[in-house]
Amino acid sequence: MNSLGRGELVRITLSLTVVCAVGAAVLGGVYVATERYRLAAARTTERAALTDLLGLGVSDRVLVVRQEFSPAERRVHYRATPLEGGATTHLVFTLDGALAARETEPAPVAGAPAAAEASGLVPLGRLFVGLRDDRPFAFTLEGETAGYKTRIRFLIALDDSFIVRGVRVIEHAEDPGLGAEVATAWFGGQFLGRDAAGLEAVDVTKAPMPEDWSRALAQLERTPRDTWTKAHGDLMARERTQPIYAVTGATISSRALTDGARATVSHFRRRWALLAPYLGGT
Amino acid sequence: MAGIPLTVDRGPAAPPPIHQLLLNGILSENPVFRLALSLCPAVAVTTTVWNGVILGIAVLLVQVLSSSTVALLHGRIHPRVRIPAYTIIIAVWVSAIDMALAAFTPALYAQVGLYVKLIVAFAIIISRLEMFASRHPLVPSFFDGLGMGLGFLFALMAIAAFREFLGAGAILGFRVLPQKPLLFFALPAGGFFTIALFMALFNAMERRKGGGAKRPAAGGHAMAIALLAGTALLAGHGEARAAAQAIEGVRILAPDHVRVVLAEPLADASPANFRWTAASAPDLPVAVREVKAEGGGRYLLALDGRVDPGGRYRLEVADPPLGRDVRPSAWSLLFGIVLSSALINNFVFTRYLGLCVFFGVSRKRETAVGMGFTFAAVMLLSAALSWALFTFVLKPLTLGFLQVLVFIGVVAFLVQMLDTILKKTHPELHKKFGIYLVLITTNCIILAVPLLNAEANSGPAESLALALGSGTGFALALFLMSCAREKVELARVPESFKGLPIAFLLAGLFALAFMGFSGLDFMR
Repeated sequence: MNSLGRGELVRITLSLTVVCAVGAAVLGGVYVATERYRLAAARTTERAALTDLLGLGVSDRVLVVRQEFSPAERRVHYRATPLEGGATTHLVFTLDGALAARETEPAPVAGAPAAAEASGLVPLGRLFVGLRDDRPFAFTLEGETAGYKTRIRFLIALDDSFIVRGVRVIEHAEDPGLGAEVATAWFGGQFLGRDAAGLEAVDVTKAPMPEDWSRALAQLERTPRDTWTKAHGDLMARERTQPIYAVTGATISSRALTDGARATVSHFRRRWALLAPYLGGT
Repeated sequence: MAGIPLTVDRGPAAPPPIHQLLLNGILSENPVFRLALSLCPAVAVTTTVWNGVILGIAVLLVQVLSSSTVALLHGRIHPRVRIPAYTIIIAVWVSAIDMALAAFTPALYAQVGLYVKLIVAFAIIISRLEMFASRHPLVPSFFDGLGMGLGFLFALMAIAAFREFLGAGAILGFRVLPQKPLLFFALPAGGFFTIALFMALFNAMERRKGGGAKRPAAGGHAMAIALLAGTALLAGHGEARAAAQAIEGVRILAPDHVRVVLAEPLADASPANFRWTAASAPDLPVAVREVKAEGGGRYLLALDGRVDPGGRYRLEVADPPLGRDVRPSAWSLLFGIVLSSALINNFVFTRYLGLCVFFGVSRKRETAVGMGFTFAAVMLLSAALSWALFTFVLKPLTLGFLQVLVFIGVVAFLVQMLDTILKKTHPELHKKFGIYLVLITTNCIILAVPLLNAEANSGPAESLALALGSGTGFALALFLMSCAREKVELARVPESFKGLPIAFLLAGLFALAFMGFSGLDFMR
């Protein structure tokens, strides 16, 4: 049992190698077969979230703006591409906010997007601009914040006067029943209707949420947002100046999302002030 | 010889009839409630029924496909390497199903993704391959796999339905009660309690029928594999530090002040000469309101926004051009990772991983300590190796889809290698630790750490810190649990709760206690 013949050694090596090789080949095949669908599904999900958050109509379009910082040249790059694909407007700004370059790049060949990752650019999140008759009418910002467990990724939608249209958590690993509650419409609904200045000053409280407001927010999960906003206008007006009520037992997660939303919106406003003239805004 | 303990050995008898095989899996040998195998997902993903269903189906498919594959390959795999070969077969099916789920059910997959990959380390699957599929032809193996898979699915659904109803007041995602009756059951501690109740119920049923299978306890002694751990620790040394030329130190003083120490005083100490940015928005400086010279090269900056001592920033001076990244020192960061993965996010009590081994070897303090040491050492080695392979091979070649296969391969390789080496060089050490080595392959933590590292794109120091923290955390959990269980041995426990059910209740209490570490923050 302790000594292995040479033939046996070869057999051992051979059987393991064959198992590994066949396994890797099978996986390669599955990867090629499923990757397409995974990407398509991801795109569909994103598209659906955007349609809802931006309140897109049939004839509206969406501009995806990729924001990147290049530490080496100390420039900020913005690449704006229609969601459906097409030519990219590439804007480069200096750190003082002066336009350094502006060019139009033709639509890339399908299947080679992540070229920028290799070139040492720091991603600053994406921005989705809803265009109606070529004028921006709503925005969705991609944000990230350090939650209680891991990072929480979220989208926050604003209308053209920077009033919050919706907050949606798209990725998190918070505890079910506690931190995970910040991903519900009940929690996100508290941000609805707040303007940028209000959001800048908003605080988080551990005080219990008023009964009627809680009941109203609970319906948000099943009601279209516009219907809900109409029905609860007076409650929203009352709560707009109140702090965000933390999820019971999950103050850290609640504060994290609130801080993240505040920072994301404030960053967006400063960047949009530069971008607006070149992307159809004012 | 490398058998997997913690299983019921039924020997190479003629296969029982098909309906018996199916029933066995669901009831009398239910993998979760009776065999107490693959417990991690039973706690982790069962907060809603849908999560339980999707993971249950994934396990069912993996079990049936792997069992069939092994039965088909009967006699073609060299017996010496059959365990690694089985592991690879499982890893292939797991990865394939993982990719398929990610592609076709993305919403559900987002909730259970990590656990689908961890199926590789589920003891139930490999133990069925070893105990059944390798000794029987295709058809009985298929049905044995199906029975086990169905049993697992049934167990997950039962636990999930119970927890979803009590924890969220919902059934299959539909709110049926106006409020949450007992939020406690949605928490990890509640998961442990639920399983304890179900196990006690199954025990009571089995006792009524008269006699049930007894699980053999994994035994063994413990001394010092600390040498190994020491070598691995040394590998974690040597963190490079970015040097700044003239900004010698930056100290963040909450809420909105920063003290800067320069080698020499600045000619221009006006606020406009300083630029302060957060690492997350390097293009948007935070305005400096006021600069107060404190003599020498020391300045106190008052900022127009809050700063967080645990955050990452960059300070720049325009004239003369200087710059320095401000972040918590590498050591305090690593210390933070180690402590947080050992206490706040303890893998056993808050991420519910490694439970099978945890319950298997926490009966005696000696075995617990032995397992703890062995595990921490192998964890560090495998995390280092996995990190290197992922960073230098898989990522550049965009072979990310092979990660499960590669990571489990690394573990299997390390375990087999240590096993062989120890046996030849230190037979007495091997006698003590050999059994734990083999068990490590079925501890999902060992796979979860490289997977989490790969997902977070961690550097070498962070990867090792997570490995060290989770290894220590596991050892700590084992030690605490074994102390408590030794006491419980002497207590009067209701008959149906004896053994694992009471252990689960204990684990639930520990999980509650560990929630107390939640607010801990080392940076502030």
